[in-house]
Amino acid sequence: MKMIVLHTWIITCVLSLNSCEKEELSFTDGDIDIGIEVGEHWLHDFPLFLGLTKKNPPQFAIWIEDTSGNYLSTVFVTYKIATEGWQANKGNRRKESLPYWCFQRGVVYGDGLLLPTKEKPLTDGITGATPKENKSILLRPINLKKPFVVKAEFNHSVDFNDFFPENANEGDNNYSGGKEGSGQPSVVYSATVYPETQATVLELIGYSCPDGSNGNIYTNMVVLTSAKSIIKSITILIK
Amino acid sequence: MRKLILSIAFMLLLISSIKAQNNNQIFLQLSMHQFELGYQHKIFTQVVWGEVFAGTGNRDINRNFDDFLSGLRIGFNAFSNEKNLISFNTSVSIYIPNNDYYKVLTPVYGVGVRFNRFIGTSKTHNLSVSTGYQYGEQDYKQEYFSEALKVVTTDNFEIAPLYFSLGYGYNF
Repeated sequence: MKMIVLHTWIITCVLSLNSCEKEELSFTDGDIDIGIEVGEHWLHDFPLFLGLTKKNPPQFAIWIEDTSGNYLSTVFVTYKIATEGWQANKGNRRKESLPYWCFQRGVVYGDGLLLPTKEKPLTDGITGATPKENKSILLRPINLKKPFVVKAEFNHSVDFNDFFPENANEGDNNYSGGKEGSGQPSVVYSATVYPETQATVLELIGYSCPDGSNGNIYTNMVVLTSAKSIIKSITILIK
Repeated sequence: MRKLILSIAFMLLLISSIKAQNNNQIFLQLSMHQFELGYQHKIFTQVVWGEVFAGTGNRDINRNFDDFLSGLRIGFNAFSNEKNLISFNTSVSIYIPNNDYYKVLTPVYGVGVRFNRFIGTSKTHNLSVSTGYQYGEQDYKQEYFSEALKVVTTDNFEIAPLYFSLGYGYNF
């Protein structure tokens, strides 16, 4: 009995150590490396209770459009958005989180909102946990003709500022979902990939509708503070 | 008849009391992220024990209590008196998240301390508090294919390093 326990212990240790392999992306010619470099406000204090907070990463989506602005495909979207995977959201679907992506995608769900549900989660692209640090995504075009546009939208919950306060009234221009809403609206980045493009950086083109009621882009950037530094950069490298 | 029942009950109590000295134990352990059911048995000496355990967890992306875990723990009883026992342990286990997005078998290594408080005079039952440090992380790859494109990315599944759990044990 003693020897069995000892041998099982040693074998388990050895097998466990052998399984700790690092996964790497393998790029080939023509692959596109979408690199997200996190910014100063990538992690945001989300209030829990008794004054305690939790460092939360943002929700985000990356997708492809043609140069006429037609949605083609999602590349990556965070789990909570893709599956309605919010914890204790009390039925709040948080339509103000990534409204621009929702409206560009244009899929209407049973409750009239454009957000995927628990019952019908997103099936396009990769659904994953929000990374806590820089992230690289491999995009291999198959029947995707250049030029095309890569867009990304990022949002933190409850990152209120003077322009988007917690106590804004519903219907006001700066209303972002109330006490548990978005705060500063989501920020949208874009870059066009032409046939000759070797490398480019997504530019900040504006912010989405604060309360998520439409798919417009707004460009008055002075109303944004920490939202502008959720990310440091998003780069595109053609291998 | 009444005497017979009382005698049998007394004998059972006595037997369980005597066998408690063997420190065989079935235990339940519960924390915010994990539920364990296990069996403990003394090995090598009277103060060293081994445990096998299995259970469920909610540490993956969907936060459902449907992940699987299993492992071994070896410990030694450092301090004890009539009612209390403090032991130190080390563990190796596997944690397998269960969701629609990734599958990754994650080895977990831990060191911890456990305090047991025996209930009653027979030492048949005990309550425990365990805490410690554990390390477990594993990279995984996700892929998506469509007619237009292929997307690949990697991510990292990580077990929270500190744990605190409450337990119940039945000695026999």
